[in-house]
Amino acid sequence: MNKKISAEELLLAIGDLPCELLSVSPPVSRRKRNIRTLSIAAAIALFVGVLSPIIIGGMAKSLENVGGNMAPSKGEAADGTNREDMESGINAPCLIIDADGNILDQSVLDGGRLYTSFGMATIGISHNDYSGISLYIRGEESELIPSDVNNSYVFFDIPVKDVTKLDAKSADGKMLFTVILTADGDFADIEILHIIETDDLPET
Amino acid sequence: MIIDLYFERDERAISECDKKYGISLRTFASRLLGDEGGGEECLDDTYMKSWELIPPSEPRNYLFAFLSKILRRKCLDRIRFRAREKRGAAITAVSDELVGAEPSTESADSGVLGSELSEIIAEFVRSLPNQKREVFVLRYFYMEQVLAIAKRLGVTEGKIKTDLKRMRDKLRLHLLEYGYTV
Repeated sequence: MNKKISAEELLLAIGDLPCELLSVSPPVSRRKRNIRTLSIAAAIALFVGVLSPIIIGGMAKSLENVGGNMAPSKGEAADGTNREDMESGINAPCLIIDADGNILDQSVLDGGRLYTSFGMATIGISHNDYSGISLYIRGEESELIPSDVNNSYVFFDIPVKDVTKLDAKSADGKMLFTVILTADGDFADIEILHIIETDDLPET
Repeated sequence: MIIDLYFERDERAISECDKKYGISLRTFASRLLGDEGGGEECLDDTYMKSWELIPPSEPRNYLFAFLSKILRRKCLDRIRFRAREKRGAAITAVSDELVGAEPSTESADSGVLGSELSEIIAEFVRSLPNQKREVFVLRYFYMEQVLAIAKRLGVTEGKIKTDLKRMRDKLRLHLLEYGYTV
């Protein structure tokens, strides 16, 4: 004889699912879906004309080529290299590609900036957007606490291993930005896989 | 990390939790409770309960899910004390949808509740591909609207409805294997 269970019992039992089964990915960015509409020709043109020199020339040099409006320095690295030469600021809009020029994502960065160095990425989020923000690293919601704060941004340090996808979502559910990075363990091998528009980087 | 604050018995753990997850949790509570309020009270109880449970619990990688689980239970407890006709729309709709029939009038405490049923459902959820698991959890744990799930996952509403229907059918069969019918 089968035991009859009610909807309430079922709902309550679902409420007892283990926490690890309850995690959900951040929402898919509309912009990510829109990426599919980009024409191949436009993607190739972008890669050949703009992105390729950025990637091949190395991050620091290529950033200088882009316009030189660099992210604010946060001091010197342990080996004496000035981080200003290594860091990049990104701001809307942002196009992320892989080393072969394939477009991985296209995001509008709204209130977020990124710096990388020595296998660590530092995300800076503007004070306006910081309240209630959630950061997702490789799809997992992170519980990072701010590592630094300045007049404009709250910073979070994030270890970068292999391909690292970073998503930030505001308290009202708006996707602030998505970034994909690769890293092979040290700075020389880190590639920032995005195109940068530096014109409207805010002063800090 | 917030969990460290709990372990250090630092009361900022609660305020940090509220700062980080408060809006999402309030949204979740209001979705469960409908327009009748009480969400704030349930949320306070949730934070208090989390303070009791951590430590020894250490939900370092899924604190939001941990809090949601407590909050969901608090809200459902509250709902169970209401007259059925006064229930929030979301909970009634999801309950009816799950059993695919008229709402049951059996008590939620009729005896079959407990670890066995939860284990059976957990086994079923574990067997689902990841995206389907998310759809199931979003609908039947977080009680999101179908349209909201579709938007969140970037797929059509029809696909979500189809997936849910298939999962409910599979769940029925799975429960039947263990001698349960809905």
